[in-house]
Amino acid sequence: MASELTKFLMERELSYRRLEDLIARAETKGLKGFHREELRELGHLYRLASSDLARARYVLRSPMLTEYLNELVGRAHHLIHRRRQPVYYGIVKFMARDFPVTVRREYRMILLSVALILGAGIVGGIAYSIDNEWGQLVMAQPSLRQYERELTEGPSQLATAIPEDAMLVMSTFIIFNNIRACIVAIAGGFFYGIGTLFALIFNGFLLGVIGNMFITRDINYDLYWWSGILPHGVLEIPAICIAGAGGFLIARGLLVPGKYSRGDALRIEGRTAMILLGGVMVLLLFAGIIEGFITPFKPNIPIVLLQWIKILFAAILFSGFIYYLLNAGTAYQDEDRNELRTTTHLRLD
Amino acid sequence: MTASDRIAVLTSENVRLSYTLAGLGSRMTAFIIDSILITLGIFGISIIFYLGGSIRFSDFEDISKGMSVALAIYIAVTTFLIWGYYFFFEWINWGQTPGKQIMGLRVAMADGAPADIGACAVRNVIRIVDNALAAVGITIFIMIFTPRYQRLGDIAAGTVVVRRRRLTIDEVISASRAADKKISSQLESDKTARSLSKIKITEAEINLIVRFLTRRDSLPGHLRSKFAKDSADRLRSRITDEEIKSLDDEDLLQKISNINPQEPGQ
Repeated sequence: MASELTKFLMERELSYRRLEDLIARAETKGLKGFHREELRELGHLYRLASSDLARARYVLRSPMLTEYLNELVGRAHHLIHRRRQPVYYGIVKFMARDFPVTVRREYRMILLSVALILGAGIVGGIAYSIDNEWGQLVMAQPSLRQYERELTEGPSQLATAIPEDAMLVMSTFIIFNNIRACIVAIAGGFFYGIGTLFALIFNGFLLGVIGNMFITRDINYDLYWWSGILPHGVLEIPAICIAGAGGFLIARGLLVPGKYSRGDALRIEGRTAMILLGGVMVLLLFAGIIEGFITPFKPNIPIVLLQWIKILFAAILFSGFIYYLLNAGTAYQDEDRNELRTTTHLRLD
Repeated sequence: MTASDRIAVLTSENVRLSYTLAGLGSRMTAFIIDSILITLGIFGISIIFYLGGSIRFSDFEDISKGMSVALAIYIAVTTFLIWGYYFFFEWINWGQTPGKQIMGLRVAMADGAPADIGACAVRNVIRIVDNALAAVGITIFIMIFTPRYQRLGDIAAGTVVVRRRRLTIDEVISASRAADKKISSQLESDKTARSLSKIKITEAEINLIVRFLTRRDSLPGHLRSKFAKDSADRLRSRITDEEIKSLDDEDLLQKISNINPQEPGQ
């Protein structure tokens, strides 16, 4: 003897199974591979399940069926009114479009970070000129021991600081350490930007003090310093600035939400900050590879020539990077608009 | 479950979807499970690499190529476990880390949609802040006093953690069938009981049946079946219902003693 509910379920079982299959397929591969008929079927089954949900809740009064359909309709609903990007949203597409576009839009915050790092760097340089004690203090940082040895042992030893076999591990370590530092800098924005401010000023100050130490030491160190820091620094320092901008965005959401509520502003700015963080990670990946493999690279040619080559490399890389930030993604904007149109006009009937 | 533990969303088709917010206890448990998994992961990989001999070196000077590769992998994996575990699983696995999956939780947007990559990133970057505050016991108060049990990362990302019970259609059908079966067997036994209770039976007979039923296992086989048959036949002559008449001898005696319970020896 079957109840009304069981009879109803028998009638609907196949439809629900089909809907489950379609949803599962769309969740992993996206709606793009669907035929016209399949889309139509999805829409039909979705509406069937939607009305059944109301029926399960108020007519059949079955908590289990309600729960089941709630989940099913929920999944289908979020699929159709898609806000989630497919899992395989390409990193290339991200770097070619989203990241540079966001950087250009938030240029004010990035300029603020740049100004802070530069300012702190100049203050650090001046501080070292006034009182050499600052050098000692800064060198107490464990990560800077290497520089100390280089300073005491002289420039002839310099390029051997990283043995060839250790390059890979150094590179990996540098990449992850920098990424960690940038994540912390962005999270620091949550304390009304004070954490971010501190991270930027601290890094800028360190760079200023050490830079001044090398430059004023001896004429040989001058070139050494620039060739040692610029090849990766032209990516790494902008990356820190962009991460700092991410932190300041979060702080802006908290402090001056403008026309939004504080919570909404925080959410919007937080998402933008994450786009910046994503790009920063890729930049740091490249910077780390350069720092681990190219900066310590020492073929058998005169050292001054090598240093100039490295500086030239850095100059080309930097110009390319700036060109990328200013121009990438503009070509995609039309395509973007088209995509938007097709998704909003996707009719399921 | 109070009303405030549920969030409801009205879809554009005017259907109400509702989700149950996860409680602090299950979230804490999920967090502990995840922490244990991360710790075990780091511990395990450290032991493997230690036994493999690649994390024993004093200086970069005496590092071999193989060691360098191994160490790079070690750094990458451990850093991923510490910094990327939550983000990766919540993004890839529809809002569920292994711990959340075990506890039946998932991260959702405020409208119940699966958390997208941006939200996953925000809530797990701000996790640093939450963990720092948790060390001094503030996070738990934040979670208690926000209406939807959100920690700071959730607030910044606009996410909530909801309970998820993904039923299959088979479970729903079998539950419905089981309910049907239970109801029909209930009806059936009610009917049987009604007709059994109409049988005229003396107290002495009942006592005899009960005594037989309690001792039947110790009786020799032929005696047992003979007694059962005799007494059941006596009763059958007073029964009109064909269905009950056709019951097995001992079954019939059992059913009769069930509706006329008597203590043996009375």
